Amino acid sequence: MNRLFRVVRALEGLLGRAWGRFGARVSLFLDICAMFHRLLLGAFIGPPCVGLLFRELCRQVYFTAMRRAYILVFTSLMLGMLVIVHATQQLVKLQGEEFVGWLLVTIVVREVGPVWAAFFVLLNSGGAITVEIGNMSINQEIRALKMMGIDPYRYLGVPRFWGITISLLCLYILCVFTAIIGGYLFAQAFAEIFWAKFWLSFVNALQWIDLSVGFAKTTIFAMLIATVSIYFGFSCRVNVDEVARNTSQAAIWSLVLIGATDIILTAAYYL
Amino acid sequence: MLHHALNLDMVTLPRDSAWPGPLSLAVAFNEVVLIEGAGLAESLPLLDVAATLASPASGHVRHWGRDAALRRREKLYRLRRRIAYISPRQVLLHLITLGENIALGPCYYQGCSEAEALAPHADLLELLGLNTHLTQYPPQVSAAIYARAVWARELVKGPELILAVIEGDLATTAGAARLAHVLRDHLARNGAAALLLGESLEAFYPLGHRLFRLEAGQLRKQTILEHRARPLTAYLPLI
Repeated sequence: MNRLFRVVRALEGLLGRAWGRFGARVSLFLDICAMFHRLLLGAFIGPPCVGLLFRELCRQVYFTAMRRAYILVFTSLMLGMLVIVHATQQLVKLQGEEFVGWLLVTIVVREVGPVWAAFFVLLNSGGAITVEIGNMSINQEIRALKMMGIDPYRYLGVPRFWGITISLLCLYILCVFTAIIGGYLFAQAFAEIFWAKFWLSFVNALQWIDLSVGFAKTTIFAMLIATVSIYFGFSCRVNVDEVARNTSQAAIWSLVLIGATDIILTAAYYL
Repeated sequence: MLHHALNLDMVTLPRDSAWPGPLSLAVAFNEVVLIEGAGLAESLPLLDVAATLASPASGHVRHWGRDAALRRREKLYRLRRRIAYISPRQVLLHLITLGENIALGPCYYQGCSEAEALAPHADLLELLGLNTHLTQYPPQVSAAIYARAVWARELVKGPELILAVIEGDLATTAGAARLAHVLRDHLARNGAAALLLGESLEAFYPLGHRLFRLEAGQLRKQTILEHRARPLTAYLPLI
């Protein structure tokens, strides 16, 4: 009886802890949702400081989309080539070269392109935003902003949020174009599929719905990355260790949310 | 209560502070209250609460008759625009220049450029000796200039209530004299209530209306010698 009682107590403890952790995750998720709402509307509510916010937004776009865009160009070329190298070997054997375009549309435009660009932005800017805002928070700069009567979420968060969104949309377009060029170069060099045929196949396969899904995914991924990074930046309060911990947490949360959203949107597309 | 810029009503500060009992203190419009004998440990918890950056453990903090705790976020930001809070813990944003730091508030609220924001305050910047440092970044300047830039940033807001701790470089004879001059000029032009705390505030006696001395967590009223023969007309705005 005594042993049974102890087992029940231990089970209770385990369940309690699991429930507590689950509750903490749900609470965190709701906090992130609240932050998303605040950032989305922040640009339109508050004093008319368009110039100031626009300057910060331009800085963010430059940092995210322009400074290291050549890396994305290079990796997207590789992506296009990889798609073609695996596909053409089989398609040429089956006389199915016209499916090259369809393959590129499905993989690059609709599925991998948005995720590829999102990963680039997550690595390039997501962590940087968390560290920057986290350090400002720890150095009491957020407090100074509050004392100046400036909403720190609006001044620091909103330009970064929209900057990341605009940047990711631009980078997605760049990624798709370079992947197509990469695919074409490889297709011509190794499978002797020439430009006219390649382009015709791609244009025939491309539909508005593919582009819409690509852009929708990109926009949502960008907003997720920005919201999570900004949220974890503002969550730093005590010391520098917290900044490191929150940066890694922000990356993991972004990955999880991007994955979940991608599955939901893809499933919605096929339904 | 409406004629008070700041009213601390039976306020208990957070437990770890150096104020053991509930505190009641009112600062009227255009009144300058000095509290001597207050070091950083005593000043910061009190001013954090007075500036609405921290909540009191109990009691009410009222600004111009309204309880700060009842205000919504956006209104709280607007309230802070009317309050200048200067302490060694107040920092400048390190990624922008001193000029941008000082002009940030007006730029945010009025949507103007940095030059437009600073132009009406050229005299203040001149008095604080900041004109040659406006293009420098905060980590590049000395502690004295940094502290003066914090004063400039807060005074540029055109505050109606000034909460300040006089400490560090600004507590030296030269620093305090310069600051007293700046404050006198600001109060004469714009008029504001002020609550100044520090170990010694002798340089500010000519500005002060009331002087307290902090002893064992209690405020004891003192007479400002310079004010013995003060005419009653000086108190008319308080009636």
